[in-house]
Amino acid sequence: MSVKIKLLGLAIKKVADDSDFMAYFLLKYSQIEKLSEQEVISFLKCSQEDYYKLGLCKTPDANSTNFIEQLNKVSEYTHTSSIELNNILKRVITIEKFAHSDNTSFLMAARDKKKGKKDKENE
Amino acid sequence: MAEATAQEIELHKLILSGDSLALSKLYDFHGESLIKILKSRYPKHAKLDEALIIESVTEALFGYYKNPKTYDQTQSTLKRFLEVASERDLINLLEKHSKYSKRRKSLPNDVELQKNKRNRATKDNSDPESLLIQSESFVSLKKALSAYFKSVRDIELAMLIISKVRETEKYSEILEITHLDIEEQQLEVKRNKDRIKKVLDREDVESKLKRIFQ
Repeated sequence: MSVKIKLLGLAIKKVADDSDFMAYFLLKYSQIEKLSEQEVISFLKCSQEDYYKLGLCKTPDANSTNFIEQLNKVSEYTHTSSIELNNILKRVITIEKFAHSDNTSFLMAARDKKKGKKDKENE
Repeated sequence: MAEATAQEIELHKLILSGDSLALSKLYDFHGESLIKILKSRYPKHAKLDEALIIESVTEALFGYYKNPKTYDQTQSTLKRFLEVASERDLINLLEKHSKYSKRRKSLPNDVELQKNKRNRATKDNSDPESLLIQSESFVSLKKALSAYFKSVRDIELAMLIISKVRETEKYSEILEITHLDIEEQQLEVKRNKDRIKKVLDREDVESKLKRIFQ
């Protein structure tokens, strides 16, 4: 392993807890999909160095109007597919939304409407 | 006094503006060269523990990335600024490391530790039968290793490696280098361990020994 790879590897560990950086999403994605680092690298079809450089890039803001532009900038710099990057981001964001959401809202959606007075009168 | 190059000014601006590629570019432009510089200035430490150099470069790059205003582009090049920062971080790390080693070294050797009653996995092997088995195994292990190593010293070093002993002190005693500086001892021990490990790996000695002792 080259010294540059070791250096980049240590750097992405430092930012892996910070959702401002792509390293956070790469790590979460590998945990969700139960993939090793090497498998994520294969999925992104990039080199290990590009993978680490990707980890050090700031996460494109999914709510921003120029999200696609930001995503393309990162994918171009790291020689990765913007489609796959988008998939990773969206997958992690969705899973995290479900994980941190208030469970009652989903229960409400699943429950039948309670019969009100009007419903009883109609029957 | 050298001023920042155009490329450095551009990178500095990217960092100040919070550009999405800034940290990655900082690592790409300066990471490897900083390691090379520190390795050439501290060759002994580079051989002994490369991780310390990598850590100090990481500290310096993150330090600058988080507080980019500490760098004045009219005073020096960014490269020089990062060089000074990473060298300072390395010195701090080495000091911390040597303090830790001294503290470890200053522990007396003759402290009698209490038997850990909670640790039921600890087995008392001092009964005559166990001692006999141990000494027989010791002799057979020595005999088996003599097929691969000519000197008694190498055989003893190989036995320590196989037993997964990590303390430098034990190796230093065998190599008779306890009078040397701790860092010199570590370097010499590492050199000898690498040499022995090469033979052990090449001849696949450990798995052969496992078969003998099964």
